[in-house]
Amino acid sequence: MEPLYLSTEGMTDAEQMLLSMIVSFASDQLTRTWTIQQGGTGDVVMYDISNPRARLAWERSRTLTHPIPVVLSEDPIRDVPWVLQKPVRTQRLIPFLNGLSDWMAQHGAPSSAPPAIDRPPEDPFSALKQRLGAVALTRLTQEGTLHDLKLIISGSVAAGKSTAIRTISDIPPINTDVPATDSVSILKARTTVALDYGELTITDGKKLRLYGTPGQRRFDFMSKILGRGALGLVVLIDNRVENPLAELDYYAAVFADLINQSAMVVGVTHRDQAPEPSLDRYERRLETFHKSWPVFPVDPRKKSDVVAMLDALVTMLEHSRRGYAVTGRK
Amino acid sequence: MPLPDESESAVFARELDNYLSNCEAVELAVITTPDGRLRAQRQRGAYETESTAVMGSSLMALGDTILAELRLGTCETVIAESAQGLVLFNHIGSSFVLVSMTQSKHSLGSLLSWARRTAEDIAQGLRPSMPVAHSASV
Repeated sequence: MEPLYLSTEGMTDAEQMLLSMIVSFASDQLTRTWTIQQGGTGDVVMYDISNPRARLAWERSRTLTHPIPVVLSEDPIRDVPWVLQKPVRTQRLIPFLNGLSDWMAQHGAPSSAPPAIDRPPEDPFSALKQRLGAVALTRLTQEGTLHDLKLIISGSVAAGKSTAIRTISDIPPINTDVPATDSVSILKARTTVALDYGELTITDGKKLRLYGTPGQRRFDFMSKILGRGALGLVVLIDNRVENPLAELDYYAAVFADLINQSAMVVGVTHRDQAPEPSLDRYERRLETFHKSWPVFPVDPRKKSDVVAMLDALVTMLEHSRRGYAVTGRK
Repeated sequence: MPLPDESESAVFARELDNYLSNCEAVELAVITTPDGRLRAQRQRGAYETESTAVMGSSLMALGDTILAELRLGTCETVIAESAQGLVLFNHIGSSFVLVSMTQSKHSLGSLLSWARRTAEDIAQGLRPSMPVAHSASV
């Protein structure tokens, strides 16, 4: 059976996300499949009338039979067929949507053409931030705390961890780099000894903290400290090192606890100088972990590359919060 | 790991010996590079020194960074304190870090004074090869 489309007007991102979460988590209790979207014209439009603009839109469309107008309100409203009380809760929403889909089936309400969405194309970085916000909010609702709104960027010496943070941070990054006095000085003059720090402003002004770890193994104690409770992990591997696949094994082991509870993406850097091992070999190596962590060729100086990598990480986190296996390559 | 040159080693040895003989409270003194490589140590016990050197460099860098971020000038000393003791981190010019530890919580003043003096004496002993100024990167 084709899904029903429910669009919303006037809801905050957090409310919209909560609505989507309930529909996703409780899908087995729904008699039809519902797809939630912001804006556009679905089979049903849910108007949060605490928003003046949405209230006006609802006043104009309240007599329509398609799309069916639903009022989202904290107060009871008489003489309106479809009213859902705020705040949206599973025990209210599920019977409401089942009643609505039953009614539509009985009355032959037209349905199920994918709605046209007339919205300008979104900047990928802005869209990524919104999705990060939604993932972070899920973590908030699950754990009741915001202490772990952070991503870790780790990996080999000179792989580009500090650069990646500098590329995407909304603030000038904070570094703890000092002159390198060992073999690292051949690759670069300075090296990180404690952390790099950047921020992304996500939904509702919340900050997602970006922590870069030192690359030299003697500083792994910092990686363990920084990794605690993180939302996810980006591992950058410099393809120029002697055994890049062993580096991958190493970081998978250092962050084993984190990636078992969260998600990881792998970025391979400096492939222009060292094309081998190929990305296929990385993927085959990752298969030995029975995880479907994605591997990307990355130039950490390019925002589009870093955003693409984070996009994959967020997708994995979104899947994990829906209860799907983050992993599962068989 | 390359060995430090002889004159540098000699300066470290002399000044650390002086430090432990002049300051009864200090139980461990470690000299590390800013990127965490152990260069010299003296102690009155059996403390782990390699990891102390690595963590000392991280703590010193964090101290530099937060003071620079807050526009409070150059970091002179980082102090880590617990009920069981104190650890101090001091710059030795821009090329080394001195880590000092005591289990005597009441010896902060003495330890601070002797640690600073030792750091200055080492820096003096290594001149003119060693730059004195240091800065954090923010």
